[in-house]
Formats: sequence, C-alpha cells, structure tokens
Amino acid sequence: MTHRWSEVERIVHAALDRAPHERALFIARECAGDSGLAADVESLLARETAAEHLLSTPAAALIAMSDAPATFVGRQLGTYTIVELLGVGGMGEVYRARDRQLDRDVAIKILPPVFTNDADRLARFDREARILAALNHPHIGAIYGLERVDGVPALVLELVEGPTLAERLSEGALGVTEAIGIAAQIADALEIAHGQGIIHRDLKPANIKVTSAGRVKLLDFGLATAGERGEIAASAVSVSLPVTMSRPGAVLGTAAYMSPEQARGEQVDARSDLFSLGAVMYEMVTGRRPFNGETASAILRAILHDTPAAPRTTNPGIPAALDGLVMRLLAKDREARPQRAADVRDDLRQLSRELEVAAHPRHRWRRRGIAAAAIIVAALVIWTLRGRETNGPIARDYTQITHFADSATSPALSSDGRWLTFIRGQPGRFNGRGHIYVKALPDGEPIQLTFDNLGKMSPVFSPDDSTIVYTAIESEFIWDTWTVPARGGAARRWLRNASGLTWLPSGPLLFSEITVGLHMQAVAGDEQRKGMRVVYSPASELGMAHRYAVSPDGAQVLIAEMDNAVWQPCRLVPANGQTGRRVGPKGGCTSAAWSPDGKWMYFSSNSTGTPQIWRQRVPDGIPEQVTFGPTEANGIAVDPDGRSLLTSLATSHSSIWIRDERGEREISREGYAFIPTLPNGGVSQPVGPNTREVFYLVRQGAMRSSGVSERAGELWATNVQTGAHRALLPGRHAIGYDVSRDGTRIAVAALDDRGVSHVWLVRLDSAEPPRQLAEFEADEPRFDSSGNIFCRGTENGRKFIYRLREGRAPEKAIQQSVIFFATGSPRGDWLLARVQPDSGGGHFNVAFPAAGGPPVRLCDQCEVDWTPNGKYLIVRFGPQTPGRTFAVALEPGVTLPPWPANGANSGKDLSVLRNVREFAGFIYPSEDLSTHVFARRNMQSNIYRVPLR
Amino acid sequence: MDATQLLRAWNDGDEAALNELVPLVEQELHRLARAYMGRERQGHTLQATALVNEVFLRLAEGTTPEWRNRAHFVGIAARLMRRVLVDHARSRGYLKRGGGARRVPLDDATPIAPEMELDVLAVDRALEALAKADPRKSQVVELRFFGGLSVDETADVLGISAETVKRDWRFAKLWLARELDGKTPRPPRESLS
Repeated sequence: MTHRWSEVERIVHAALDRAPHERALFIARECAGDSGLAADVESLLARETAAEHLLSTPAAALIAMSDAPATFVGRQLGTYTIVELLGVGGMGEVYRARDRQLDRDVAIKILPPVFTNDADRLARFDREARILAALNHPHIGAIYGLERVDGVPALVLELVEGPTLAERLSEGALGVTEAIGIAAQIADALEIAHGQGIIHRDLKPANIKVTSAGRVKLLDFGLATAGERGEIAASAVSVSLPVTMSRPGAVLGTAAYMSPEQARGEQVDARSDLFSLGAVMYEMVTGRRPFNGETASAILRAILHDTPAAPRTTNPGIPAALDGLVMRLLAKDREARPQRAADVRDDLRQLSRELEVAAHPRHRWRRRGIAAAAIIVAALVIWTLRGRETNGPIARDYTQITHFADSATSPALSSDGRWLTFIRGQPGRFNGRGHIYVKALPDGEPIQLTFDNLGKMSPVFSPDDSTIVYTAIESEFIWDTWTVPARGGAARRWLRNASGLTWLPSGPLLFSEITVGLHMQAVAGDEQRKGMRVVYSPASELGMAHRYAVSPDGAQVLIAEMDNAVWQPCRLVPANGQTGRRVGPKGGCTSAAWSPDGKWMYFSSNSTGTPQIWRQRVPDGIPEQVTFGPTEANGIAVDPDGRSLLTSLATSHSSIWIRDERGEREISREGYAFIPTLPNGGVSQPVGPNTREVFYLVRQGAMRSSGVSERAGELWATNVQTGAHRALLPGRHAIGYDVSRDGTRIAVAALDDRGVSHVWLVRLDSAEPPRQLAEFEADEPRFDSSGNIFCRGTENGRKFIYRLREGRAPEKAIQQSVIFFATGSPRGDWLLARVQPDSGGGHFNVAFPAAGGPPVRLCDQCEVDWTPNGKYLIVRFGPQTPGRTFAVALEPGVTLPPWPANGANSGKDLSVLRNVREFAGFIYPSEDLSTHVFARRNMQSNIYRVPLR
Repeated sequence: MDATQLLRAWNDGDEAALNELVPLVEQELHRLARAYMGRERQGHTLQATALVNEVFLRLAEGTTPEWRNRAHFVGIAARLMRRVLVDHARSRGYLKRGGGARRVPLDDATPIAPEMELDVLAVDRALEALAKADPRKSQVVELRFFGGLSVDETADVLGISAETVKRDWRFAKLWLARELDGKTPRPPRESLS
C-alpha cells in the first residue's frame, strides 16, 4: 500500500463524514495544490450513491435468486395469480399478477426471501406501504394491499404501463403543450401529498411514468420521507423498474434535481419538491438539465451557485409565462419560489388553456373576444415563422395533422382513411428508434402504442384495420415484423426476418427477407412461410429491397430499394415476379404509393436535392413534382378518396454556439449554420489558434434549394467579441475548411457548378482576394504547421492524400488509398484518414505516420484532431446527441499517445491514457480548453395533408 | 470423488478439483434456496450467511476435514463462492459481452442495470486489482460479498476491529464503483435469454 493510497483514503473518509456542501472546500484545503490528488478524491466521492448499491446483495443470494422467476410465477396469492417477473433487485422482485376478482393486472413487489429477516429492509417495506396507503390520487401509483406469500411480505401495487419520463427525455425535449400537461399533473399529485405532510424528496424523471393516454403517475412516493441520508436512491425500487445500481448516471440523476436546501443537507419542505419540479420542467422543454457537472459534487455546486440560462434561450418557442414559471421554481431561496403546488398547477392549467385557444381560434371565438384571439394568433404566427425562418413557410393549402416538437414520419392510413398511424421518434433517421402512434383523423389525440427501444420502420394497418404491423430493427441484421393492436395492447414479434411487410390484395403477405449479408429480397407467401416465392431479388449483393406499394389491382408492385446503403430510384415489378424497371424521377426514392384508381404512382424522391413528393401517370407518364420548397417530404399515404395525400414534412434548424467565460450563447448568423463533420466534411476546424473568430458554413435561400449538394454551405466567420459576421468566400458552395496553424489563412474545399470540388485559399486579413489553388479536383484540405496543405484527391477512381504546393504538381503523401482524409497533426508527423482494410470488413479511422510505417488504428467512429498548438489531442464521439468529447493533454514532443490496441470507441477506452478531460457534447475546444464551440441542431417533422389536383 | 473429497483435494492444493466442485456448489445453492421457499419450509427464512454455511456443511458432511480454524474455513468458502459466481456469470453468456471492442451506440439512453446483472466478471477483475493495491480491503470484500459475512463476522475472521471493516468496506466499494464505471453497459435482461 502506497503513501498516496493511504492519503486518498484518509481524505475520502474525512470528506464523507462531512455534509456534501462542505466537501469541496475541505478537499481543496486537504489537497492544497495537488490537483491530481483532488481529482482522485473527487472521482471516488462521485461514486457515493453508486457504491451504496454496489455489492449490497451477497453473492450467494444472487445465485440463489437467479432462478427466482420459476419460484413465484404461476403461484396463487389470495385473489392474485402471479404471471411474470417484471424486474429484480436487492430491494424486491416485481411481478405482474392477475387479479381474478377484479379482472385487472397488478404489480406485486416481493421482498427476496434472503432478506426476510433483515429488520431494516422489512421496516422500509412497511413504510412504503403505509405512505402509499395514505396517498390516494389518480396521479400517484396506488397500493391495493399488503399480503404475505409463504410468510414473505408482498406489496400489491397499481401496475403502471408506459415509459418513465426519463426514458422519454432520453429522446429529447417534449413539446410545450405536452410538457405543461405533464407538469400540471405532477403538481396536482404533489399538492395531495404535501397536504398529508409527505414530501417526495426524490422527484425526478425516472420516478415519473407517462401512460399512453398521457396520464402521469408518480412512483416511489415518499420513500425518502423517513429515510436516512443516502438511502433515497437505495430504496427507489419502482413498481415497474428494477433497482438501479452503480451507474454514474444514477448518481447524477439524483443530484441533478435536488433543491439547494437538500444539497446543503438542511431540512426540506414542500417547496423543495417544487424546486425539483422546476428542474424537471426545465428538462422537459429544453431537453437539458438546468444544472450540470462531471461529478455529483460539481452538480451540487452548480445547484448552490449557478443560475441556469432561461429555457427560452434554448427553445424560443417556449411561452414567456412558462419560462418565467420555471425560473421562479428554480429560485435558490425557497421564499422566492411559488409556495404551493396548487398555485403551480393553476398557473400551468391557465397557460395550457391559452395555448389551446391560440392553436384553435374558433373555440376562442365562442368563448371570448375575437380581438384577443387575433393577438395570440398573430404572436403564434410570428413565432412559427421565426422558428422556420431557414425553411420558408409551408404551403398554405397544406393542413398540419401532427404537432410534435420532434418528429412524426412514415404515415399510413386505415382502409377508410379515418385513422392514421405513424412513427414518432428520431428525426432524420430512416430506421431510427421511435414509437408507433395512432391518431383518429382529423383531431384525435395521438396515442402511443409501443414502448420499447427498437428501431422502427414502415407501419401499416392490417387489411381489417385491427392491427398495426411494422418492422422492428434490433440490430444491423435483425429485421423482424411486429404487430400491435390498433386500439392499444401488447406489441409482439410476428415474423422473424421479415420487414416492410404489406398485403397483396389476394391475401398473401409481401415482405423483405435478408438472404446473405446485407442482401434483402422481396418475397410473397403466408405467415407460416408456405408457398413462398421470390417477387424481386436485387442483382447487386449489397441490394436491399425495403418498402412496397402494391397497385390496387394487385398486379404490380412499386419497390423502394437501396444499393450499398444508398436509395435508388423506385422500381416497378409485376407481382408475379420479374425484374421490372425503374420508374419515377431520377435520384433516391424512399417510398412509393398508388392513387386509389391505380392511374398514378407517387414517389418520395430526392432528385432535386431535397426529398419531395413526385407523381407519374401509369405506365409511362413524365414524372412531375407535387411538393416544392426547402421542406423535406418523406413518406406517402394517399387518402382513399384520392383527393389528398399525407406526408411527413421536415424543417430543420442548426446554429453555432460558443461557451466561454460569458456563458453560452448563439453566435451564428441567420440560416442553417453548421460545422462539417466526418464523413462528408472531414474534420473542419471552426476555432482558429486565437479564438477571435469562429468559422462555419451557412445554408439559406437559394443555397439551400439549389440541389448542388446537401452538404454545402457558404463559409462565414463570426467575431466572438463583437458578434460581427463576414462571408469569406461569398457565393461559393463550401463543403469543408481548415484554418492555418498561424491563423492567417483558411483553406476551403468548394464545389463548382458541376459539383466538383477544388481547394481555395482565403487570407483572413483580406489583403488578397480568395484564389483557387489548382484545377486539381480535391477536397478535405488541411494545413500542417509549416503551411503545407494536404488534401484528398482522386486517381483512377481511388482516393489518396496529396500534398499541394504552389506551382508544383500535387504529390501523394502516402501510398495507401483512403476513403476520407480527416486531418494532419500540427507537426505534420501524422495523417489521419478513414480506410477500408484490404481484408474487407468495416471502415475505421487510422493514423498514418507521415514518414511511413504501419498505421495506428484509432477508432471505428470518431473524429480525432489536435488543438492548433498541438498541446491537446481532441477525440470526439458522435456527432449525434449527446456526443462526447475528450481532450488528452500531450507530453512535450508527443503527437499521438500510446493508443489502445483495438482502437478507442468510447471514453472508456481512453481511460488508459493519462490527463484526459471529458466534455459533454460534440464540441470544438480552444487551444487552452477554456472556451468551446458547438453546433446545436433541431429537426422537426410533422405530418401534413397535401391536396391533390 | 464425491463433494467432500473434492473439497478436501482442493484444500490440499489440487486446483483441478475446483472445476468439479463449482457446479456442485451452485446446484446445492439453488436446491437450498428452493427448499427454503417451498411449502415444506414455510415460515422459515433464508439468510445469505446461513446459506453459504449450510452449503458447505452439507458438502463437508460426515467428515471432519482438517480446517485449521473457522477463519480458514470461511476464507475457503468465500473463495469458492467467488469462483462459483464468476462461473455462473460466464455460463449465462455474460463473458461474450464483456469484450472491450464492442461499440456502444452513443445515443443509447442510459440503460438501467438491474442488480441481478451486476457485472460479476468486472467485479472479479477489479477485485484482483484491489488485492494488489490493498490486500486487506480485497479480503474484506471477498468475505462480505462472496462469503456473505456480516461486519462483525468479518472483523472476527480477519482479527481487526468492526470499525476498520466498515471503513475498508466503504472505501473499497467507492474504489470498485469507480473501476466498474465506464465498463460496457449491460444490455437489458430480456436480450440475454
């Protein structure tokens, strides 16, 4: 045992014996100037809650319990039959049980037999029962009884189906209306509890369930009221979830919603729960927690000292009244907060009514004056237009059907056209995770039908409209067909290795089946896979037939297919199985449909750069465009009356933000502002060596709809101090750029009219006009510290890294071909690229020694770069949210530290390196890491009805 | 060889005996757990320490092995339990998921790891690392977690004060929690079956 070890141990114990808010100061004093020691101590203290759960169930009990499902399932307990195990943990086993008398399902929580003479756990069990019994409220999970099974105590609880709010928030912010509805219900439940003298003390999204009907249920209520400090999370066994344990998220999750008085270890009261409600509301509307930090103590410090940015700075669509209420709830001084849960609930209901009236002015006319409504509508229109300023308004004769803040895609209609099903989930992803919804047209509430985490695609109604059938994607190679009752119920796997399923009018099923590797073909047959025949098999081994539209007479099928992961034009094949031919516009076709009379084919195609709806008369008409403008249109459901179709229209917004000593703020100019990322843009560096200017690309107006390239934008710079913007290469379609290490020049890859990329050199002092370096076709330009420019060029159809020098022919920097060139080290000793190994298999990123020699495997998916001064190696994982960024401090003379042998695919793999700092998000730090820049992207898609003429 | 002979062979340094012993112990654990919960033992309850003790008493039944003392016996039992649990975890297919090369989707929502799915293999490895840094703390963990001993029993076996056991246990768990952080998140329970 080393002296250092004993020292860490001593300080940790001493800190644990102090109140949480005293610890930071104590550690600072004890570690006097030894930042390594302080970090060591802090990182251990951050695990306090995790450690409480860790190893709390003895190993023997774990083994003995591991066949527990067999022990209680099927047993009778009074009027209950135990059906299945829902979750297991040290604090209890939770089962689903059938109440035969009342004909309903309940949850039964049973203390594991190994603990039944543990007095402490028994007491906690009883306490939970008593507190729940005192609380009878529609928004609080109810208790039905306390029973005994063979002498073992069992709580009979209300079974709450649906995801927790934490699960919902993991997918991003909620819409304002929904957030208000949920918050009002929580406030309602709190009012009842507070009236009974019960303080929740652990209000957080993981303890809030939202049922498919939008009803909120608070769980784990009052478990903390009589508990000791630190026991809060330990006792948090929810009715539906297993015990959480030993994950850092659990620690942060609990700390993040804690009131300042709780953080200080003081007495809590009802107003402490209201603070937590404010924190939950903040996260619901912004998708971000109000107080953040890398350790629990950092979060507690933030709670005590920091004021979060108002929610409207993140989401300008939040009404001012809601913004104000959230900020008042988050007041440090509890006297400054709303004092009673009922007041909060009433404010929220009022707000909800105002929003509803604004959204449906005709109701308002009946109730109140027209003038007031006009003002609200005007305000809403202004907000709506502002929110979409980069995209332009949606055509006036389209009717909006869904109103989500995130994404609704893949519309399909029931046979009578009165019900809509769609996927709500990750925007911009063709098979991303999402949930199947159903909605009665025109004004029914959207109802969530699925609650799992699987990727989803192509929902359709069964021929009798009773069921919704969809594709669920568990992994790259597992594409199964699932069903869920259209009126709600359990989702079930129906057919394995079957996707894009639909029906032929004569009865058989038509679906995709994976044959070998990625190859996916269209087959028809019945559900036992009898009488199967191949309808269409792509010729390419990377071909994937994904989605089908069968003509009304059943004779022909339109197929949306991919080759090598790129959407191809749609294909029309005879249903009796021949190769058929391509139809519709050129460009990738992601879905197709028929008019009810079979005379028109409809396509969603990106042939103009942006996905739009097209149609073509059967059999050989000229394709004509139906929807226009910068909004993307995906998915088609033609109304059975043939007079309109439903499609999902996407609007997106992206902006550039900086976080420095003045806080976090948006700096980009109007338009869709972005920083190119791999694979298309290489590693573009938005921050020069002196963080005076930030560089980014902007798409707007003509640039956005020109169709030259979806990845291009105009290069702009914003002065961080003054906020002034300037265009550096006006009118050019830039796709990537790099600032020279001395900050005087910027190299830009820009497309010409034919979409061919060339490298341009721009002087940042504007002393000379921008100039094109060579006729040579090249992109992904990167400077080294000597001012050399490396770039990616093409030879015989293969890509190589070249060195460009004025007045000389480009020369190959390394002999091996690459897929993408990422960047070069400041010293010029390493070149980073994405390659496909000769042995085949997946792509990955490597670092080539510029002097020659075997490359180092960096990662499967990451961006690696250096700060311009070469002092830090920056590793980014993402760029999807949340993304993580790591800065590795480099020893003098080192460019690439010893790297994990199999590459680094998460922060965990980097933990073998020393001096690593972690940042939340996909960020671009300055040279000294004090400041960083990031892009914030929102994509919204909703379903619209488009009239057909 | 029967269980008793195996136990003795292992105690005498025959590591191969352990491989045969492990499934017997696991079987016995399950049998006892079920028996305790079954109707024939209604009203009885099951405690982890008692469970471990009873398993070993049964395995050692009818013999008087030359255990040097109780501490020695308990130490052996805890080591054996550790091995049983690690093998149990492996046999459930956990090992193949522990490889460092597996890429975790970055947008994965924070998964919730039920305690049943404690990464026993990671705990085992972390404990080995702990044994190098601070052997006594690793012994405390082995006795408490694998041996199922209470604080006082652990103090007795190791001949240290209960207060020291408590502090060792507290610090060791913080240290282990940190070691275990960032390990590959476990997939949800249903996908393991």
